Amino acid sequence: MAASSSPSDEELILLIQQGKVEAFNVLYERHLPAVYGRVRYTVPEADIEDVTQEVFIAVMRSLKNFRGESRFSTWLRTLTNRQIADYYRRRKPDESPLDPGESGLIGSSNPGANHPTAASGATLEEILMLRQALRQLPENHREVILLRFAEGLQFNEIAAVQGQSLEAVKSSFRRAIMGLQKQMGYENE
Amino acid sequence: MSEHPDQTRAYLDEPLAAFTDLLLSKPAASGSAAIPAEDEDLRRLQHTVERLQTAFGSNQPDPAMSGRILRNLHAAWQESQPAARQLSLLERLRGFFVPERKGWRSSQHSQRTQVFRYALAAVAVVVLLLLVVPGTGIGTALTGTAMGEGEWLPFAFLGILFVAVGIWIWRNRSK
Repeated sequence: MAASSSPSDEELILLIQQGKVEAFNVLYERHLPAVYGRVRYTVPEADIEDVTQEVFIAVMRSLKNFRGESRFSTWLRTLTNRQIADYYRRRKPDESPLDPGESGLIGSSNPGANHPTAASGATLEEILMLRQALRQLPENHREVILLRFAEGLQFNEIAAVQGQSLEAVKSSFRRAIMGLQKQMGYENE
Repeated sequence: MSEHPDQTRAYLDEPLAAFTDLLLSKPAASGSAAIPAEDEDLRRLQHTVERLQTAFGSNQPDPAMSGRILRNLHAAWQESQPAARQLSLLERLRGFFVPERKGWRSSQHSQRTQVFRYALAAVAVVVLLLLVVPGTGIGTALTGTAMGEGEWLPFAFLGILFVAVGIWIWRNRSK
């Protein structure tokens, strides 16, 4: 959360609309983790940087017309989801549903695919499968997982964002995790 | 009538949310170890949450990547605001006679337009010289007429202005 002394998103946007690039830097640093998190949960590793950059380029171009009718973070979330959807639309139909750069690694021929990655301890194949499973969840279920894990919002904050009760959000979260569990085959473990 | 299976598991909502909060607040600790679940369904859900957290880890982007993106964004910012860039006098003069091409044009069309512009500019310069330089016969020819010496200067400036406006109109018409 931003400190009370730092300018609000809306104040920064006014400065950006006046051509102050420094204000854009602050806005970028503030919202990069949320955008990056959302992108990395849904986009193949090789394209995370490009898609994240495309989101902020779209922000730069669209901010001139931002009227503050919704909160900036809500607007940014919608824009990020649109860029991710565009990314998948642009991909060739015959491309692997998994990671174009990494799907070839999966399989018995590649010894690294089933080994834990240095960063997370999960196997490469598991990460790819999780991304795929997340994309196949119903949108409201995927959204609650992304808000909690990728953006780090608390359940009460998610409830405020989605205009739902805390109980409804927790229930939605449990159903989303059940869906993921089923797709990943964890229910048999 | 039996309850929907999803409804019967509603009791898992709260413990799963609490487990997730604990896991995400202390990512280094194992959530299962912190709260051992006796309920088999809850244990499986907790396992899924753990796998999700383990697979993706921290959301903090690599500083090098962050810097690269910011540099590219600055470049895009500069491109999106060409009006903010101050043009030198030379660039502005060049822009007047050689405007930036917008869209595709045939090379023959461009050459004809360029030749015409340079011809107009040359005529303007010659007229200016003839009017200003003494002894060329034009400025002095006016002396002895109704206008006194030097009174022709406003007309000379008007003539130059007329030529400049002509060039400007032609330049805008040909865009």
